[in-house]
This record gives sequence, structure tokens and C-alpha cells, in this order.
Amino acid sequence: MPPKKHQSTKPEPKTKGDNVDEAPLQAVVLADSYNRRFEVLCQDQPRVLLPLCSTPLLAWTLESLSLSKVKQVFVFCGVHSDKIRSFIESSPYRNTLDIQCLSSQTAMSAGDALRELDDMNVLNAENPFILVHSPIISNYDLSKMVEAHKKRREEDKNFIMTMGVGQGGRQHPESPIMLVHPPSSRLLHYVQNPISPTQPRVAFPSQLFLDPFPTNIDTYEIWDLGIDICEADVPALCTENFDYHDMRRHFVNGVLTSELLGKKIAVHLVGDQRSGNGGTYVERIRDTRTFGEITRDVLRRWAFPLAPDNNEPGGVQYELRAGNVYIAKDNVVLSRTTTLSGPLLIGPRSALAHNTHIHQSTLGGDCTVGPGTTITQSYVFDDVRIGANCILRECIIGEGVIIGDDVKVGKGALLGNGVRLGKGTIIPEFARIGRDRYKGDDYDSDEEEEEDEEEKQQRLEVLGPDSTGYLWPNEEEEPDSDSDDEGEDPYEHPRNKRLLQLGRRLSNLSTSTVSLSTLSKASSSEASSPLSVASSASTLPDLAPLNLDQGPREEFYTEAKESLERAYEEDHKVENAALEMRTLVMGENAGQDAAREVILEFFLSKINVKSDSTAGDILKQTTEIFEKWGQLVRSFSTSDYTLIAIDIQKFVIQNRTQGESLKQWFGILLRGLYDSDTLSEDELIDWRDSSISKGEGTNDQEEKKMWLEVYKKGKPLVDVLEQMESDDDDDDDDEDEDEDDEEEDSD
Amino acid sequence: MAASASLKSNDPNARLTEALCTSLRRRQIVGSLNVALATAALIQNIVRSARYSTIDELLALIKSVGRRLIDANPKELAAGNIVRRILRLIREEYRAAAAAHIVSAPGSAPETPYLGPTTPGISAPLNHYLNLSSNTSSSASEFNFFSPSSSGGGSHGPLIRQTSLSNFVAMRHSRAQLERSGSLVDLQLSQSTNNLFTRNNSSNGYPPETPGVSSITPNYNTSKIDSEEFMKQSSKLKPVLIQAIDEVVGELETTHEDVAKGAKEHIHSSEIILTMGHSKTVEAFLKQGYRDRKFTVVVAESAPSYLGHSLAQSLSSSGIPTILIPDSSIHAILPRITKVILGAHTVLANGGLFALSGSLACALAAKSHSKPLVIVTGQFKFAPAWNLYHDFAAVDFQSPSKLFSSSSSTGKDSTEIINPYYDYIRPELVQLFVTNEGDHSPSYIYRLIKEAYDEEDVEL
Repeated sequence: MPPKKHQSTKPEPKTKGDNVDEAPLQAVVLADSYNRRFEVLCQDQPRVLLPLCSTPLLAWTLESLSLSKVKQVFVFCGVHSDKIRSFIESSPYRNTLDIQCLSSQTAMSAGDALRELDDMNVLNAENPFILVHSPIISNYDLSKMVEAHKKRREEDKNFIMTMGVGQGGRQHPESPIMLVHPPSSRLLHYVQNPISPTQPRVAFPSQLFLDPFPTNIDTYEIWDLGIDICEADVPALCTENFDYHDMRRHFVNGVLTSELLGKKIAVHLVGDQRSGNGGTYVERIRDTRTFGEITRDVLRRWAFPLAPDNNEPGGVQYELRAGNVYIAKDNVVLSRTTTLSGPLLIGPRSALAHNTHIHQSTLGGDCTVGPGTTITQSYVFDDVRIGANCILRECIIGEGVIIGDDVKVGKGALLGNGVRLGKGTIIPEFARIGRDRYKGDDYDSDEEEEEDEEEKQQRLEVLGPDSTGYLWPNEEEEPDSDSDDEGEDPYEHPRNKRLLQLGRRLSNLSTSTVSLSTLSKASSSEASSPLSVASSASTLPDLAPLNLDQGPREEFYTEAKESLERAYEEDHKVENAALEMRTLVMGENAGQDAAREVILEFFLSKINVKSDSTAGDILKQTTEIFEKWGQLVRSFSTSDYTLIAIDIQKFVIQNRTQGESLKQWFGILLRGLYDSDTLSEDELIDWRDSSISKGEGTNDQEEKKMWLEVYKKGKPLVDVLEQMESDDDDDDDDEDEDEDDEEEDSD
Repeated sequence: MAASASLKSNDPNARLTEALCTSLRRRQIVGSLNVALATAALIQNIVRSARYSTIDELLALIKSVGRRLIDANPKELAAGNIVRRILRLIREEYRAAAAAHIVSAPGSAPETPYLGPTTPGISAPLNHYLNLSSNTSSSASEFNFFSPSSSGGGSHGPLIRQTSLSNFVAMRHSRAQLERSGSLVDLQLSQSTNNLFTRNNSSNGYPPETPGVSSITPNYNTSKIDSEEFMKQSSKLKPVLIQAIDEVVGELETTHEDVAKGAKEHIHSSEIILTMGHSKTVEAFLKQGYRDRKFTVVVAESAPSYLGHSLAQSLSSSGIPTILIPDSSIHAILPRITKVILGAHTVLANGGLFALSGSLACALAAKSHSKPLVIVTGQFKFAPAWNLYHDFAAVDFQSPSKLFSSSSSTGKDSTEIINPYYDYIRPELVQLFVTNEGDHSPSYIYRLIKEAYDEEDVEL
């Protein structure tokens, strides 16, 4: 353990100009992602040089850093370090920042990178540095975070790192759960919490709650910014523990759980909580999903003043038009019939032919788009030729790609640099196509096997003979790279990884938005609080059943039945039974419809139908049951009581055992409901007039017939009721046909 | 002429320029006055420390810096205005100094004869320069304006032209303009220097076409002054130039007070005045006015910046009865208002202006209720831009986060949020501009702008 380095220099306010006495604020940018999410697009360039709104990610990052008064930047490159070097050589940031490229071919993870950094001895040991994990776009002054860190460290030397967290924002598959002690901002616990597969339980060590912190849990939606303020201890610790790879999974958890170390990690909430995070925007590009989201955010000016028309240094000049449409001022050719719907960006010297439709996309420089082509939510890099009548949806097209006529590119597809697609090719959804063949992790240049026949067949099938490029395996099929003995990264789970792709929707997953809980000082009742913490903590992730469409889980039905059984047998009050049901509905997130169905089903099954039952019998039973329980049914159908009738009809039709016997008595059931005031006359008339009751809801002919059949059984009763009503009012009944029906059917 | 001049990358001035550009681009310096002051400080620094051998080079250098500043944030037109103003001052000072140099030259330089009164081209203008204020019919200006072909003295020019009154008015105008733009002096100078030049080439004839070219620039002349001679001059000139810029800075710093001086002429007792935003000029104006008159101020809160809140606080803390209203009530409260006073971000040559968003709503409401709209502003905000067709982005769209908290994840993608910072107010909505140098109607603004800047600087 390195001795705690005393901060000899007092943190002075930064002044501009070169104050030699003060150590410059340093930042380390990890240029390599140490994962393969962008790999198809990164065959000849590193991820940090991918253009977002035609500006390389590294430029955005450097701009964000120099905004934060950073003076010295170390760009830690893995592959393609020569490209990064030459980019930095020619970038205007060289004038304002001291940028150094450090390259290493051996670093395979962020932990490795920090170890090498420690070896290189370039960092100022006295001062903290900013560690940027992935390319960021931010208009936040990170030096505020550094100041806060220094202040914290003045109080307690054991704070070795401050993690930036943001509030709000979108749901992302990589949202951790953090437990924080607010007064000191100290991070207590860190759990990774992938959306899919959901972790049913999260374990928190009990000593968290036994600690002197009296606890209750406030929840915020907080996410990890991937920006850390690190002391020199951090790389040193990485060197000591050679098994630290992932900064979050290994390092943070390692530090937090190690009693011996006694080090602490703090979090810093970026932006103001009160005023809608005060115009600060900090996002990082982690995967193709965030790439798309952030591009649209930038075009919508969330990152203002970082916006395309705000004259990025050395960048292209854009003209902003209505609807967040950015057109480069340099020779863009738009046809009169081109339709543009923002937010979108068109790079310099691009030409769009007639009848092109561009929607929420970015086009790089020197692109041509053929007539009749539609591009939707896609990100096209520089120098791409797109033919006529193509359809591009939610894809990323790499540099220099040539797309022939009539090509369809499906959702989420990634086309690597230099791919060429022949006429009429149809690229399936989420396909990845690279210029070179896919290389797995175990790839060895010696054993370059030839493309086998099957693979070739498949390639030809998809891409056609005119195309150049190779189909890559899908993300989820991709062999897992991280199957080390130390356990794999939950975020790299295939199911979670799919969600990181461009074009995947999260909205159909239920939202488990509770990603952070902080422990705040409880005002009272210390004794009771640990209990509440434990219970709420353990139920947190349970909120996320993924199958909303299929209705509630099986347990709901069994539980509901049991509860009703109890109520029925023990003759509970209706209010109590309703309360119980409601709790159950809430707990299982089941919804009213399901509840009503289950209640009706239960009570209808209580009607005892024998082969020799008479109509009178049935009516009596029905009336009796619903006289007592009708209110319960009604309380679960707030808006439309006709649904009760429809549900009964459905039950009668679909329930094999009970329903069959009740089918013929459907009219009687309705009568019983009417007599017991469960359904009023108007509601029954509504039922009669609704189309669902006549079986319009189904496509199946057979089933429709059954619905109609049952409907016929119920209709006369309603007609009679209506008749009676209108007779009372001395009104003419002009529905002759109803009268006829009534004559023959009424019993 | 400007292309060659740019700062070396290792020059400290280049760093300062870069720093100012960056902070303009990042919106770390906002507000016309702040931008203007920062620009003036930067230019002063450049004048003080940059290396230049001719005045030309200096002007080109300043121009290139000005261009960069404008590029860095095209919406802050004040930067360009200040650069133009300083350019003009430098030219004036230079001409004055150069003329003085030439006048004093007979004594100082050993070879005097060519500057003597025998030279026909120079005597009259020189004389004219010295008696500039009294001399109404200047031979040089007529000369410049009317007769490109007339050679040398041009003493017969005015005589021909002064016959008609309309001509006389036209001449007055052109003369006034020339005087302002300095080309009067310029012309004399060109003649003198040309003489100097021609003497060196041992040619006595005066080229007849030269004086007629109205757009003679100092560069043309000064390039002919040999650098040695200029260096002597420039060492003397530098403090003068710096002093001139100091004056500009001083003028900027006292803008608010100067504007506010007229407050009591414009505000009557027991008026109810509507304003919005937090313009420092308006604040000073109202506070000054309250010393003499008692009135009430209604402040619209000016969402989404809510600058109205701080203005209301500031006004009420100095005892002015203040009412804060939401923007939505502007139209409703207007019948009770007697006058609308707004600040400006930039005033354009057509008399239109950019002001904080919401100002247009105020202006239109005032128009529909026939209440006077008074704009109070310093003249440094007058920009030589004709914004009859202003481009869409000119109203400076900001981040939507002010309107819409991004903490709710839904809606960020589905809603298009438009948050302009400025409104463009058409000239016909404005009744009066109250500036630090008098009150003007919108239709007169172009004139002030024409007088304030040299024409060649309009495009930096």
C-alpha cells in the first residue's frame, strides 16, 4: 500500500495563464474500449476516431476536457495508436492542451492500462487526475468535480477516488445499483444491475446497515458517467492487484469490500438536482445504442454549447435550419424534392438526389444519396455512396461504403468500412458486415482457415454475388470472450449485450428505474429502519417481470383464488376482500382486467349446475352470490361495467369445464346480475350494442359463432328490460326486430 | 492585404486570441458588454505588444483577429463592432500623426524642399487639414467626389458645383462622410506621400488618376513610406493608439451611466413601465430615472432564463415599486402600462434588433395597445449588418434542458424542444432608441452605423 501522499500544495483556484507553480490538471483518456461493441466499424480506425456528427469522438472528448480547464491529457491508445497520434498532431487542440499519446499493445483491460500508466510514471503524484473511460460529450466543468474531490480529501485522506454520477437520463442496460451515504457522498456498495437477465435479488452486506449510519433509503435515478477523479493511489492499487481488470467490477468492489485497505470512494452528482440538472449534459459513448442516442441529443442541442453549428475548432461550419436540421455550408447539394425531417446533419460536399427522404440521421462529408432513397435514424460516415431506391433504417454505415440500388438495410445493422453491397441486397436486422472476416478471440494469424463452404453459402445468400464483405456472427451468438474464472461481466451477458445495440427498444421491457439508493440520515426511529431497508432493498429488482404482454404471472391467479376462497368461505366483508385483492393486484402488477376476470371466474364456478337444474335454480344461486359479491366485481371495473358482461360471456365460451354447463344459462346469469344490481339496465343495453359481445373481437370463425350463440342467449333478456323501460316511459319501441326476438325467445 | 498578416503560433497574443475565441465559443463570455470589453482588452494587448512594421500590417492583424472572434461566436456582434471601431480610431490617429509628421518633417528631415509650399498638390489640403472645422468647401473632398479626371489642385471643382442648393446639400453630406471616415485626410496624405514617392523616382509629374480614386486606402500610401521612417513614427504612435483604445474601453464602461443620463427626459411621474429580462442598461436607466420621478415598474419574469427575477429584486431593493408578472400575463397587463422599455442584444442597421426572447411578445403587445416601445442601449451594440433576411439560427438556440428537465427519460426523444435565446424585433415595432449618444428613431440607425465605422471594415 503506498503511503498516503500528503497534498503539500493547497488546492488553489485555477487561474488561466501558465502559472508554473501549480501543477496542471491532468486527464487520462482510455482510447480503447476493451470490448468489441464497435468492432465492425473499427477495422481501420480506433473507436475514439469514429465520427459523431462528423466530428471524431476524441475531438468531442478533448473539447469537453479543455472546457474543464484540463491542461495535460494522456491518451492511452491500444490498437491503431498511429492513427490517434496523427489525429492529435493535426488537431487544433494541440494549441490549447498538452496532449501526449501513450500506446500499449499489451493492455487488455482498463486495469492493465492503469498498471502501465503507473509504470510510465507520467502522472503527477501530488494531484488527482481525471480518468475518462470512454469518449464523453459533456458541457460540464469537470474541474468542479476535482475541487470537490480535493475538499473531501482534505477531510479524509482515505478518499482515493470520486466517481461522477449523473441524474435522470435514459435507461441503459448498464445501470448499476449504488448505495451512497449522502452527507459524505461516500459510496458504500456497488452492484452491477443489467436489465436483462434481471437479477431477482441484490445482496447488500448487512454491516452496511449496522454501521453508525442510521438509514433510510432515498431513491434517485442515477447513472454512472464513466468519469473518475483518481488519486495516484488508484494506479498503484491496480499494480498491486494484478487481477483488477474492470474498473467498476473489480476495482471499485475490491476497494469497497476490503477492510484492510481502508480506502474510500466517493461519488459526485453532476448537475443540480433541483433545477432539472441545470443544463449540464454528460454522456459517454459506450455502445451503438448510446451512439445513436447521443447523436440525436447533440443535434437537439442538449449538449449546448457543444452543437454542430457552434464552430467546433477546425470543424465544419454548419447552418442551422428549422427543426434542428444542420446543413454544412460547404457545397451541399439538396434536391428540390428532398425531404428532411430533423434532427439531422448533412456533412460537407454531400449530394442528395431527388425524392430522397432523410429522417433523424447524420450524413458525413462527401456522401451521395441516389434518387428515391429513404434514410431513417441512421448514421452514415464519410464518403459513402448510396444508390437509388434504398431503404436504410437505424443502421451505422462505415466510411467508404458503397451501396447499390434497391438495397434494404435492416434495423440495427452495422456496415464496416469499405463494404460494398450489390444491387438488391437485403441486409437482415442487427446484422454486422465487415470488410474482413470475423476474428474471434482465439484468433491466431497462423491458422488462417479458408472460409468453409457452408459459411460461403450463407454469405452469398445474404449479400449476393456482387457484394464485398463478410457476414459477422450476431452479437449474442458471439462466443463469450470473458469466460475467465473470476466470473463474467454481467453486462456482457448475451441478452444484455443485445440491448446495447442500436435499434433495440427498451420500452417494451418493464422499467426498473431504481438504480441508486442513498442512505440518508434518518430523523427518527433508528430501530425500525434497518428492517424497512432490508425489505425495500430486496424487493427492488423484483419489480421487473419482463413479460408484460402475457399478463400477470401464474402466482397471481393462484393467490387470487386462494384469497377469494377465504373470503367466500369465511364470509368476509366485501370491502376487506376488495382491499386484499387490490393489494395483490398492485403487488403482482396484474391490472384490473385480470383481477376482474379471476373474480368472475371464481364466483361463476360457485354456481352449482346440474343436468337437471332449472332456470329458477340457477337464477336463485346467481342472484344470491352476486347480491353479496357483486360490489367486489364492480369495484374492479371502474370505467366500463359492460366489461363484466363481456367477461362472463368470455368465461362461458372459453372455460371448458364450467363454462360448457353454464353456456345455455347465459341469459339467466345476466338476469341474476341484473337482479342483484351488479349490472344496471343501461349497462346491459350497452353490452347488447357493443360489437365485442357479438364476437367481433376474434378472427376465428368457430369462436365467433360461439360468441354469437351465447350472445343470442343473452340478448332477449336485455330486450325485455329495454322494453319494460320504454313502456314505463310510454314510448314507442321502434326496434321491431327486437320485439320479434323477444317473442320467441323469452323464458 | 490581410491574408499575409496573422499571428505566429508561439506569440503570446496568439494564445490570448485563442483563449478568447475558445471562451466565446464555449459561451463562457456572454453579454454584449462583456464581449466588447474582452475584445477591446485583447486588441489593446495586440497593439501594445505585437510586431508590425507598417500600419497596414497592424490593421490587417487586427482584422484577422476580429474575423476569428466573429467566427468563434457569430451571435455576439459586439466583438466585431469593437474591432471595427478600434480600426477606425487607429486609422484616424495614424493619419493625424502622419500628417503631423509630414508637417514637422521640413524641420526634422534634411531634404525639405519637396515638402515646401511650392508643391501644388499638398499645400491646400494641408492647410485644409489644419483648419478642418472652419473650412466648409474643401477642395479635396470635392475633388474626390466629383472629378476623377481633374488634375492636381482641383481648386476649380467646387466653384462649378456650388451653384445649386441640392448639390450643396449633397456635398455637405459627402464631405461630412469623408471627414468621418477620414478619407479627407487620407487623400491629402496620399497626395503628399505620393509626392514623396514620385520625388524618389525623380519624376515630377503628378499622376492625374490617383487623387480621383475615392477608395484610396492608407495601405496604398503607407506602403510607400519607407519603414525606417515609419518606425520612428510608430514608436510615437503606439501610446497614442493605446490611449485611443483606452478611450473606447472607458466609453464602454460608462455606457450604462451615459444612457441613464437621459432617463428623466423619457420617464414621467406615475408611469407604469413594463420591462423584461435583466438588461444592465435598463436597470441603470430605471434607477437613474427614479431619482427624479416616481413610477412603477412591471417586470416580466422572462422564462426560461428567469432573468426578470433578478431585475425585480434589484429594482425593489433600490426602492422602486416593482411588480413581477409571468410572461403569460404580458398582454393582459398591457392596458395598464404606459411605456415599454427593453434592452437590446444587438441593434442592426435597419433599426431592427435582437433582444432576449420574449421581447417580441412584449413589442407586439405594445404595438397592439399602441404603447410606446423604447429601447435603451449603448451604441457599441450597433452592428453594420442588414438583417432584412436573418438566418434561422440567428436567434441562438440553446439547450432544451432549461425548458424540460432531462431527468425524465421519456420525452427526450419524442419531443422537439425549441429554446431560442433572442427574438428579432422588427424596426416598425420600435418607437425610439435611447443611446449613450442621444436618442434616435429606428430609421436613423443606419446613418449612425455608417458614421461609426469605416466602410472597408464592414466585412472584416
